[in-house]
Amino acid sequence: MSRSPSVLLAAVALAAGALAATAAAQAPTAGPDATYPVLDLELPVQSLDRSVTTADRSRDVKLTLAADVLFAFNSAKLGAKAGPRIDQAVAEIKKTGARSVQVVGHTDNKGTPGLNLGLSRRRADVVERALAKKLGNGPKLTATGKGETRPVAANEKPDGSDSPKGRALNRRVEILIPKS
Amino acid sequence: VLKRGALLAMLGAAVVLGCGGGDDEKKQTKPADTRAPTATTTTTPSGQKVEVPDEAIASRDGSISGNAVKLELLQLKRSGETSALTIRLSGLGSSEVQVGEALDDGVEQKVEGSDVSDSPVGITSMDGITLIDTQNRKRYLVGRDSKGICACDNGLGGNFVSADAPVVLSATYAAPPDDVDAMDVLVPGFGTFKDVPIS
Repeated sequence: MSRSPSVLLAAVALAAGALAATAAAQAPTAGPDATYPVLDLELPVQSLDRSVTTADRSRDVKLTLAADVLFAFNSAKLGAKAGPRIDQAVAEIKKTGARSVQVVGHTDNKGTPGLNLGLSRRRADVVERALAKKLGNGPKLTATGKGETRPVAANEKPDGSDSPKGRALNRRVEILIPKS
Repeated sequence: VLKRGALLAMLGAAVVLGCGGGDDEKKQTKPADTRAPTATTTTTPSGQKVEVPDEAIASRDGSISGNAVKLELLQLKRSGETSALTIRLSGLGSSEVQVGEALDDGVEQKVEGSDVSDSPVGITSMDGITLIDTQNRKRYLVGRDSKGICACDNGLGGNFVSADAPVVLSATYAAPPDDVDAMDVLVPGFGTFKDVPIS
């Protein structure tokens, strides 16, 4: 089903009207020392199985691969389900034509910080090698690990109990593809 | 029940009222408009002013903490590279209902790149609501700023709804490809609203 031009026009007119009304209604009234920070917005789009999340940001495209899909527990060896996710990352990298790509491994906070740092580095290295194999003489790839130090979710719930969902989000490999 | 007709009628009205400009139209005397307004400007809990259609495109009854609540999908609107979902919650019983964590994904998001000791942003937002592009098999999550705060109404622990006092909530997502005209909307506790039209 495709939208007709008139509906598109109407949508644009409505959007413009709503934005104008919003701008007028939200005109700043604070004093001379007030600041109005503008932060980058990350708009994530995910595969239905939640294994790959793509966020188109102002400076780069961030691909987040769920470590639980790539690796077995405490392992840095790519599992059987990793192939299609690596292929998706390769396609995304090729699409952007980036000349450098950064691979960053992360863990949750189970175990010691030292072990987690090592595991995250080994996982990032393995993903980097898998990408390099498929990209050939493509962009320059670098791999680093951050261990448990850069969580994107709390490892515990507000009541202090364990948050398996939060920890799963933290176990990840990020692929940062700068925009040229 | 989807009410595409209401949305198209509203869009049609916008064309009539907002897209004139020819000489003939300038000379034309418009009759007094006796129709009821089709949209209302309202303020969400986070202070965002949104213009919402008076008639919902879909609605469903559910419950929050055992209290009957009605959820209405008011609008899923594309605007450039983003799309905005606007919903309305109202109580169906005699008591007030705390929105609280009902629409959250249950995970405290952290500020990316922050130290683990930084305070999380809570689990009382509406970031549990996701959009599904069935055509391209993609799930759209609520947007977040670089501090990890969702681009949606949050801090809903202090929000109560009743039959007389509904609350309008809004969340921002990436816009789907241009050829996608409808998406499924998944709302925690309320199930999936199929084929919600994008205006």
